[in-house]
Amino acid sequence: MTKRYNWQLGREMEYPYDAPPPQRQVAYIFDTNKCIECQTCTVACKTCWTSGKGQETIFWNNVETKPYGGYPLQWDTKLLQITDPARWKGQRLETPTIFETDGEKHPPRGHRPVTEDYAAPNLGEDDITGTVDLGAHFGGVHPMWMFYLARICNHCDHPACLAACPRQAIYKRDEDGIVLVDQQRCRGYQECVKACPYKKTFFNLVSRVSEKCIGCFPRVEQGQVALCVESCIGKIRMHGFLSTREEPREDNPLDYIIKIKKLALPLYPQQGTGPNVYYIPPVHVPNGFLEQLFGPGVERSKQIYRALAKDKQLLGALLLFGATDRIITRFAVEKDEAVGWADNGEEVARVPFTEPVYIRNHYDEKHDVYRHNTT
Amino acid sequence: MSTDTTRPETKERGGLIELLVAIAVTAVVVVVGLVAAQRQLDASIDGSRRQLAARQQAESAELGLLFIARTTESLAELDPLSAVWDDTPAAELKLQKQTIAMPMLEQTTVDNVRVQALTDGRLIAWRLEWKDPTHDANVDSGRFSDAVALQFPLEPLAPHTMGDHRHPVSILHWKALWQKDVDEHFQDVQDLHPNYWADLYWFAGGTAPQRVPDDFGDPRSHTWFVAYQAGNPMADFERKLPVEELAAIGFGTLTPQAESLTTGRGVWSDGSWHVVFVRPAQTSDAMDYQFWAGDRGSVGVAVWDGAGGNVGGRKHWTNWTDFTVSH
Repeated sequence: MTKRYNWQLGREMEYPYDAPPPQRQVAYIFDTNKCIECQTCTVACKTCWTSGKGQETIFWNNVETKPYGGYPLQWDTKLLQITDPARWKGQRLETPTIFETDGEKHPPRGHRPVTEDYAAPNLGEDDITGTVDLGAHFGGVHPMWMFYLARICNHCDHPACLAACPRQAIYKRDEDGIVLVDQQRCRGYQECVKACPYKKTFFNLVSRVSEKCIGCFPRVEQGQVALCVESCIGKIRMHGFLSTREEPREDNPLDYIIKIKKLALPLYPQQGTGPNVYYIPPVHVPNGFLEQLFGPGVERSKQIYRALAKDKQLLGALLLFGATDRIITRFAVEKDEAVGWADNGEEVARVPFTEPVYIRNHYDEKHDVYRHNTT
Repeated sequence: MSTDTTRPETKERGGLIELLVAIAVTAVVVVVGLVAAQRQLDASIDGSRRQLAARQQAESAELGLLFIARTTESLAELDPLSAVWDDTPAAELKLQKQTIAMPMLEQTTVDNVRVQALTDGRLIAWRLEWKDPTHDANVDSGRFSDAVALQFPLEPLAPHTMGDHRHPVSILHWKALWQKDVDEHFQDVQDLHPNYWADLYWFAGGTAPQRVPDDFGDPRSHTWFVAYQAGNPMADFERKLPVEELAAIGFGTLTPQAESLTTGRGVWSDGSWHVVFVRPAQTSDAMDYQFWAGDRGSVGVAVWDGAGGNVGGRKHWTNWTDFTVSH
């Protein structure tokens, strides 16, 4: 085991391999407050990447309802059962990660789902935390709650799938940190399926090897965002890169939102894999639940989110979500517009802070018709 | 007036024919004699060989070596359940948990494996038998196949831990899943889950539920068979043999060999697996072990119990066991 610094845990941790961080790290921000679980992302991903025989129940992208939903079934509660409850001292994790629990000669602590666990991806969908009594009403605090959690591979800084593979058939790309299973080398031992805390590596029973989200790398190489990001009708997602070998940049929207403002938080950081999908936590959900998922930064994040109207720079960065199918690597707020540029310097998004309003007359003279609000 | 009607040239030819006949007769006599002598010599050599082999067998019994006997049986199509194996010398090997490399086997479910081998001078057949009350062939999430492997050192002193960088090993591997592929058909989704399939498999022919490989003739339908497209031998939809040849230079380095001359067959009966591997005794491949008459060598065995969650390094195995190939 080597010692590697995990910035999400505020400490060094043990990991089987040492390597410099990638030149830059692919990362995503999902705003859970905006997700309506339409599953457009799921369908876009599935249609493109996993519509083959043997991939019937494989969803590289899924959206589940918390607290009860989960794909594969109870992936998270089973994980929490076999790991110690996370204990944080400020921003520093005091409890062992999945790499530090069983010692050097053992794979990362994990559980392996069976076929049936993949068979009901929508179980628990839209279920709230409890039954609503007759006469219940909103009194300032929601007595019941639920929220939607969209999930893809986290392309982790310290991937558990990679650590667990006895054949070193899983690798992390130097150019962007995307984690891939070598489809020529894998022999289908399913160790990665067991080790990934997020259960985002899958066994294909026709190909008889493991498969996982490829981060839409053929698109990323062309400067395009992933399909799940482009297809998001709620514009809840942003796709870009985190700086890894230099200080976070104020003008990189991912660096700014995640590392500088710390508005978006990693999912189950206590497992130690350094996940790179960052979530803006749902503001209506109790902190007790959210801290288990997103670590100690939840309350701070909620406060920033609620005060967004006063933070023009941060609001500007958020306005660029879903504004283009190109990856934005630099942004700025110019007067009343947020502007995004691609890697090659091309302007790819310009979004006004206030959408223009056009008021049209009831009677349309040109077409000699009356306008009706029929929607 | 001459009454001889034979043409003078014919007379001359007659003499030539007599000469040729004489030569031919002599040649036949010589050849017959040589063949007889050769046979006598062969019998004598065979006799000596038999004596040598008998002595070798007695010695190997004393030394606790597995004796690989000579046979006149046809090995090419040898049945794992053939009565020939009843009289073949065997070694009963104790299986251990693999606990050296990650991931380790936590619990043994198979105690012993019985190893036998026979050669006809040209081919060598290895037979493995072990008790396994469950026949595990199909694979799925959290579901694994029974399997067995033999390893042979390609350099002296190769560690039994799949060799190392200086000491490669040659491996023969059989899987129950591949046996089922060969005996029945490629084990597809419907062989495990008859009632689940997707509404659409792009560019596939036939009707739902489409079968692999028959309904996936259109190359465009292979787009989603990525391992298959990458030439991964795990994703062989038209498998001809349940065995593969591999080489390794340590844990995690298992590499399928491009050329494989090994055949084999496994049969599960009475709660036991019986698996036979057949290979040419000698080959021209530097990554194959060479079995020469009279030589001593080492073999290691690994057994996987699918029901016990055995896969990859989670295996039962033995240390090296020495054998000697009959003269």
